[in-house]
Amino acid sequence: MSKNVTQRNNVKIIGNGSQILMFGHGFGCDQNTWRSVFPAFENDYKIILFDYVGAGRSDLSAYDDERYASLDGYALDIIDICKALELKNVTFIGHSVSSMIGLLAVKHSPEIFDKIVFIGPSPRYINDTDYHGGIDHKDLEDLLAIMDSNYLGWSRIVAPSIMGNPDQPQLAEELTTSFCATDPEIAKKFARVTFLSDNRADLSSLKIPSLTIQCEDDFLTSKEVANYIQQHTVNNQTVFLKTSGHCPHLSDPKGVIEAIKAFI
Amino acid sequence: MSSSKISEITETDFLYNQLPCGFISYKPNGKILRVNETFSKWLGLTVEEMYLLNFSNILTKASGLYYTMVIDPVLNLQSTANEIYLTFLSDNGEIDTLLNAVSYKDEQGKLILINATVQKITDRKKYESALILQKKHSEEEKRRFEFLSNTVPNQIWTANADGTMIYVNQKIIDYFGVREMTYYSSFEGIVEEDREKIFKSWQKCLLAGKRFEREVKLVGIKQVEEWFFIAIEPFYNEDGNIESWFGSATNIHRQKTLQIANYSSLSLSLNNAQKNLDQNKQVFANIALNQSHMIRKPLANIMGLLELLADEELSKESRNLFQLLSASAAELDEMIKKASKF
Repeated sequence: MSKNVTQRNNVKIIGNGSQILMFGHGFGCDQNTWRSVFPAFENDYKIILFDYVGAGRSDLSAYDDERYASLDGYALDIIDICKALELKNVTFIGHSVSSMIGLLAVKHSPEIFDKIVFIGPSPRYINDTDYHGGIDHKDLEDLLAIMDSNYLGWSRIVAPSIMGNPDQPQLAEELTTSFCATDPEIAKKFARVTFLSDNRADLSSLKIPSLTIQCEDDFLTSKEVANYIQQHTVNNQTVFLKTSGHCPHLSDPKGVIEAIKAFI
Repeated sequence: MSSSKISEITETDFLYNQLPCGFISYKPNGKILRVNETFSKWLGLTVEEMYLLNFSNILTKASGLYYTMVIDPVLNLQSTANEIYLTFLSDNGEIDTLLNAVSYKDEQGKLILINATVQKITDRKKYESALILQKKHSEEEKRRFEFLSNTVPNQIWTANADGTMIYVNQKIIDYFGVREMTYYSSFEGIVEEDREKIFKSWQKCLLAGKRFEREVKLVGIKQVEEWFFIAIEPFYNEDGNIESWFGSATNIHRQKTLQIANYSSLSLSLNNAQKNLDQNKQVFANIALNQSHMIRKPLANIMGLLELLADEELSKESRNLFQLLSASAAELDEMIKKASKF
């Protein structure tokens, strides 16, 4: 069972600390997304990296339409890994949709987790009455159409450019060959599940301390959404980073590391 | 005159601004640092107006989402991203483009700048959209076929022109308990004693492009032999070549076993009838033999008396009657002899 789960989710265990930090990647990425962040913790913590089924180098054959038809299926991936490795007192750090996946994992198995960190979270992406998630249904359909167009040539997007870039060592290219190597059909399903999820009601179930890290200028989420989470979650603190984009762990790893260290 | 014109139109600034290709440089936060005139004209803006905008603001919402979620992380982790389909907002609506981007990082590996070229692909995009629509339509048709094939009680499959399997319906998966099968070589679902014979027969049809039709005994996950009627029909494409094979297996076990049982029963009845006939024949022969003996005895007396009478003097009229009596006795004797031989 343990071996199956660790292979299925391409689990990597780094560091020897007694406390555990588990990093969950967001949509369209894999565990490589954490490479600028986790080294800052590996001397003091045991680091758990993994790919959700369907992403990166996970076992694509383990993808099950029914299981992954909601974020609960992805939350089960987290719980499966924790149980297989007999992890306790885990601090889960989730980027983007992984924030709510982590929240669901805590809801289902609270005994495993001590703290949770949300990076660029959103409990609901689609606008609703008295709630501004940021996108509407048409945006989602247009996004899926763009994914369709790009996945026709997805390998070209991530292939090394013929133009080259002498500033970058070749090693970096190799490290990222699996990045975003998600199966196109699974990616589309994951996108639909992500954007149609609504976890606002789950926020109140969270009893453990949580931290929200939010960029000041994020195309996908917003300070408004981060504030909504804080208002509806017990014991939640929020850090706004003076950086833009949806991936501060890539664009401002130092800011993210400092915020996490201060919280844990 | 012409050489000065050539110098002018090959000068770097001219090339940068006027080539039929968009050039744009922007910071990771989207601030546009440089853009060429071609690109700004496509969007219906001046170069100066574009410097006031953010890269994410000139994209449609969906393209901005895609760029944020997928391309931005790629450019943070690697140095290039190629042929990304993005839609930009323009004063006439939207323009479809392909973007090739190179990212530059500082000594600490932090992304500092992205240089990108933008190719306008509006017409190609229309063609691509038609292809995507067709692809979706084909996928939809495939799903319909699979749905339909799973609702009928038969085992249904499709195979390539060479007989290798393309699709098997749920009934096959459930019956044999496997997802992968070829049917092409020695398919273990066919009972072992018939396997080679069936395969050869199918191989002949496959090579000749002719319909295969046969009653076959199959063994599924339950390890019980059952009769199926298998028909495999070639599907010809517009060029007249076999494109694929459509196969179906219908469970005829009940009818077949009933048929076999009826045949056995009929055969038994015929055997019994024959046996009855044989027995009756013997009885009849015995009766004939017995009866012939019983009749022969008085007949022998009659014939002996006739021989005695032959020596007596008889009137002409009595002699005539005597001869008629002798002929009848001889005739009767002949008949009894024949009956006793039967």
